Order: sequence, then C-alpha cells, then structure tokens
Amino acid sequence: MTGEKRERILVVDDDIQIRRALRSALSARGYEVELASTGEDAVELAAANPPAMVILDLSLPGMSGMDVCRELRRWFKAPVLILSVNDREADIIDALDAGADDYLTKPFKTGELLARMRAHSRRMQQLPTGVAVYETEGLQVNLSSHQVFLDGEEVKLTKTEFALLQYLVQNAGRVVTYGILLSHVWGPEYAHDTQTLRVHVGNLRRKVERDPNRPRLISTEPGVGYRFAAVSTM
Amino acid sequence: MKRDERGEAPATAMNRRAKSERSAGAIRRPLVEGLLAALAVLLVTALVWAVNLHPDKASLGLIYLLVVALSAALGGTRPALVAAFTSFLVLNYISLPPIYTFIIHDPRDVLLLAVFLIIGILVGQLMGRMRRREEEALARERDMAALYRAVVLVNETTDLKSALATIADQILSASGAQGCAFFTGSPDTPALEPAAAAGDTACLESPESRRLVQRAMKEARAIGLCAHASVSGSGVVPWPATVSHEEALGAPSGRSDVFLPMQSGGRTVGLLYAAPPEGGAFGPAMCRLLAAFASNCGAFIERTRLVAEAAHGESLRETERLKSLLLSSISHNLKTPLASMAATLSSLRHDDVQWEPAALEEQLSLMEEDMETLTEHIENLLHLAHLESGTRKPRQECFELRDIVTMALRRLPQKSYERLTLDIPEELPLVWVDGVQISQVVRHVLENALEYSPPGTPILLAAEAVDGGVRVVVDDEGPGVSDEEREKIFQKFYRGKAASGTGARGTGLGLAICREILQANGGRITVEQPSRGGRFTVLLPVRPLCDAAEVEAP
Repeated sequence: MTGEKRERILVVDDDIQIRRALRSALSARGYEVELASTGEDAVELAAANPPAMVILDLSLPGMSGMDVCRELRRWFKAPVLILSVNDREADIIDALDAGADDYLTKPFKTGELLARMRAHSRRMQQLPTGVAVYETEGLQVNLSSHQVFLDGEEVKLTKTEFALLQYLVQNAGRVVTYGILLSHVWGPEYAHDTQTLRVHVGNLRRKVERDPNRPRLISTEPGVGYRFAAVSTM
Repeated sequence: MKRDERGEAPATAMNRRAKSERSAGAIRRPLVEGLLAALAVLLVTALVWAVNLHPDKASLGLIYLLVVALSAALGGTRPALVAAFTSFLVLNYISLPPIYTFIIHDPRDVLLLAVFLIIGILVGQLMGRMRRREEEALARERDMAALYRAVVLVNETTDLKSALATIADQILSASGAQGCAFFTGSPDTPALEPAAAAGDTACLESPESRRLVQRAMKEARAIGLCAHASVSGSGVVPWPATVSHEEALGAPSGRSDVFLPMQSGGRTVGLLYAAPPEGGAFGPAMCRLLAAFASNCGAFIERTRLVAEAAHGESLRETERLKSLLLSSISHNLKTPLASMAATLSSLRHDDVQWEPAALEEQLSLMEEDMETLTEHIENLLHLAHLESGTRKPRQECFELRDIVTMALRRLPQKSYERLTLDIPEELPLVWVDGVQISQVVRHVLENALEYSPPGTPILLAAEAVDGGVRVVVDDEGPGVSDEEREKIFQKFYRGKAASGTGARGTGLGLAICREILQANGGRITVEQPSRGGRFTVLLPVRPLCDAAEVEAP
C-alpha cells in the first residue's frame, strides 16, 4: 500500500474493545482509521473529512446507528457496513433499507470484514453509470438488449425474472432487503410478499446458477434479503 | 321496598302464606284419614246389621278391634285412635243396655268397655309404630343407596367440579330438595361463588344468603339443620353443631334452607347448601342424609386438594432439577473453552519463549477454535431461552426446501461439502415453516452427521413429498443411535454414548433445540437406525396456499 493514498475508514462503535481491535487490524493492513464512539461524533467527522468507507455499529447510545445511516445517506455515497448483534434482524433490515450496503453480525471474524471491505471498495471503483453489460462466473447480462447468457448459451427469463436479475446485478455486492427488491420489481404495495419473491428467485437460480444447490451468484442473507456476487462490467 | 294492602313487605307476606299453607296441609290429611276411619266403623256396623248377624257385645267388640287394627296398618296411629273411640261410642250406643243410649247400667259392661278401649288404643299404637318403623327403614335404605352411589362416583374421579355437580343432582333426587349447591374454600377465604349447583339456587345470590354462607364456614356450625336431639339413630354420622337462622342473622327469618359446613381433618373445607321443596322443611331423615353427604364430600374435597398439591410438588421438583442441570451445564460448557483460551493466551504472552511461527500459528488456531466453541454454546443457550420464553415465535412462509438447505450449508465449513450429497427433487412442494429456524435444524442435523460418522464417509440428504408434508432424511455411516437412546437424545443436556467416546465438545442442546423448533413449526424430528449407519428424519408441513402463488410484475 506504500505510495498510494491510504483509504480512510471511519469506525463507529461505543465499545472501546472493538474500536481498539479494529484500529489495530485495519491499520496493520494499510488503512487509515478514524474512530467515533457516538453517532453525533460520527456524522461530524464524516462531514468534516469524508472517509472512503464507514463501519457502523447499530446499537449506539444517543443517536442510533439507524439514524446515523439515514443522516449520512443524505449526501454520503461511499459504502456503509453495519455491525450488529445477531438477534436483531429487524434492525438490520431497517438499516439496509435506509441505505447501508452490507452487514456483519457480532462476533465476526476480522478476515470476513476485510474481505467485504475489499469487495465494496472494488464495487465503488467500478461504478460508472450507463453500463449495459455485466459479467461474472460465466453469466453475461445485457441490460439494453434484455439478453442473458450462461456459458455462451442464451437463457430465457420471464419479464419478472429479468427485472429481479437486473436490480440484483446493478446492486451487486450489496445486501438488498426483501422489501426493497419487492418494491422495485412489483411495487411498494407488495413489499411484504416475501413468498412470491422467494418463488421467483428460486426459478431464477435454477436458470442462471451452474449448480442451483450451491448458489454462487445469488446468495441468501437469511431473514434479511439477497446479495448478488461481485461483477465486472464491460 | 314495596308494601301491599296489609302493610307488609312482599317477602314477609310470602313467608306467612307459606307457613299457613304448611299448617293447613299438616291438618288436612290426618283429618281426612280420621274421618275415613270413623266412617269405616259405621260401615262395618251397618254391614253387621244388614246381614242380621246379631252378635253379642263381646264379639262386636272383637269385630271393631279388627277395624282398629286395619286402620292402624293402613293409616297409622291417629286413624286407629279415631276408629277406637268411634267404635267405643257405637258399642256403647247399640250394644250395651240400655241400647240406643250412652248410659251403661251394668258395671261389668263398664269394665268391658274400658278394656275394649285400652286394647283398641294399644293395638292402634303398636301397629302404628310398626308401620312407622317400616317406613323409616325404607327411607334409610333409599338414603344409603343414594349415598353409596355418590361415594362410588367420588372415589372414581378427581375432577372436583364435575363430581360435585353430579352429587348435587343426587342430593336433589334423593332428598326432594329444591336446590343444592357446593362451596369450596376455607374459613379465612370462603368462596363467593358455588363450585357446583343443581336445581333452583337463585336465593343464594342475596346478601343475606352470602352472610349465612360465610358465617357457617367461619364458625364451622350448621345453620338451619335439625337439632341432634330430634334425630333418631344418627350415631353413625358425625352430627354438626347447628344454630337457627334467627340466631345466625340476629333477626327473625322465615328461611328453612340448610347451610352445612363440610369438614375434613378438623378443618372446614367447604359448605353444602340445600333448599327444601317449596313451602316445606327438611325432616330428620333428610337432615341425616344431608349430614352424611356433607361428611363424605368434605373428605373428597380434601383428597383432591392433596392430590393437586402432590402433583404441583412434583413439577416443582422437576423444574428445580432442570434448573440445576442448566446451571451446571452452562458453567462447564462456558468455562472449559475459556480455560483453554486463558491457558494458551497467558502462555503466549510469557516472555520466556521465542515462538516459532508454526508453533505460534498452532496456538492461535487453538484459541480460535475455543472461541468458536464458546460462541456456539452461547448461541445455543440463547436460542433455547428464546424458544422457551416464546419470544422467537416462528414466522411461517412458503419456502423452497432447497433455499433452506442452502442457508444451512453456508454455516458449515467448506471442507465438509465434499462429504455431502443432496438429493432434492425439482417438483418438491413448498414447505410452510420459518425458514431461518428450519435452516438451523438442518445445520444441526448435518453437523451431527459430520461429527459422529467416520471422516471421509458420505452423508446423504434426501427429500421427498409425502402425505401432508415433505420428508427430509439425512443418512450417515456412523454408529447410529440405539433403541434405548432414541428418545433420550432429544432431551436437554443429554450427550449420547457416542459423544463421550469421541470427546466431542457438544452442549447436548442441539437436538433439544431442533425438537422445540419443529414442534413450534408444526413438524417432527425422529431418529431411526436403518441397516447401517444412522438416520435422522425431519417432517415439514406444507399448505395448499403455497402452490402457485405467482404474481407477475405489471
């Protein structure tokens, strides 16, 4: 990482041990680390000196992680990763709906966190608008011609299936909640119809995954939503 | 309170009417019987006359004695006495000279008449008493039969309320009571509402009645029951002390109902209430019957209370046992990995050794494993606590089994994948479950199979549609589970025989959690032993609404 501008990561957590552990782990890998222990501080620091990424604990005293997320997303475009205790699925969903990109449950492995951070960093670098063709794992998705190819062979998708795939691909690497996906493809009135969503995603998987039993493209985040594997664009 | 023309309140007016009716009834019937007896004497006289028998005075006297005896047999003492006096007069009038007068000339005739009268009275009395005794014996037999039926019933059931209701009905039919009710409770906490009632017990709702109920129970004295002295042959049944309604209320009362506290072991356990038929009162025989019922029911109520207490004690003991098991398990399971982590960590931090990278790596890897074990234990305990306290109610939806299995696989180590084979048909119906919870079950079952079968041996997960659900079967080539352990392995904290052998660090909670989850989701988990290896079977429910719920985007 020498010679390159170091990425600044803002870590927000009220627990001092986690802050210390993350600072130690991240700076050892060449990141510049800024720490905040409250939501108010986090927003201030981010506004004063926008970081490349924010790692945000959901359960903060005072201004909640949720509120921080919402506040940041009014102007902050870089990735926001949520940390949370396992049981609080509803909070995770709310944070993702409010604009967070990913989540990790405590206790987490630093290795996992670093991998996600790298993935989102790559995604940010590849985020030009107006891209028509996405490619990954032998799957090619052409958004303008509405064609999909798996290992060179065309795959026939229904209109709904394509709409699903499109949204997932355009948000590749991010966790997309059931609610957001349903609202985008079917409409806000259907935001709670997870059943329908699951049926269609199942059908989609059967068509675009090489091994539907071991999905590598569309992974389920149990109770929260789906994530499409990172893609490269052409 | 409204008053009628007499200026009396309706309640008291009603009481007065009832009283006069009763006394009228008391007079009317014997009057009729007496008249009939007198008539019988005259008829017999006419008969003798018509047949031209002309008996002498002694023979006539004997004929009249027959009539007296018959009157006693048919009607009791009173008609017999009437018959005796009537025939005394008639005998005097028509048989003893001078006839057709009431005067007697011969002093021997006076003697005759006197003896006749005495014999008549004696016969009347004797036969009347016999008749009365016979009636009493019959009544007693009826009482005994009713009581016996009640005793049999009471000893067969432990459901207090329904048994008391049936007994109340029995009392109604055996004693002719108008209404009957049972109260349970103690002198300090007398029940306000009857536990069981039969017939007309509307008058129990008045404040006066409630006061009587409370008073009877508090003082353990009956109210309105016959006094002991007037009841004959009652030595067998313990006779309660009793007071009158007036004394209990401190005011005149026209009541005739009975409030009978029920005792057992020297304590009052309830109260038996009985209301006599309209306008009547309970006679000594009925009082005796009520007392017998009260004593028997008192014992019954006490018995059900003791049985309930014993059961409660049993469940408390079981809860205590589980609690202490839980605590000792938590203590052991959490402290063990912590201990080894502490050991490794403190050893690493000691300055006395320069660690080689390989050795360092090994130590750190050990610590990581310990940490994972600890995390898993805590998650299991939390999960179980959630399930038991009902805060993790399943949120069911239609799921593809494949999705659920995928979620489960994600939480298994990558290297285990090569041992797993999945056989999930395309056309499997969707299951109606909480997907996250069931994926945890699948994970537990797969982990079990991986842990307790020889390394490298294959594990098969197969699914098929069955009647009313989807059956998922996980087969491994391990030792399986013996018949005797088949149910035990699902108990909390139970570590099977296989576990102790491998020294595996399980909590014994995994399968218990699986069972709870499946129960809450409407499914089932069982273990079998096919020809070789072990097999876990999970049954998941389906719903018709899961078929073809397709909505196309506009």
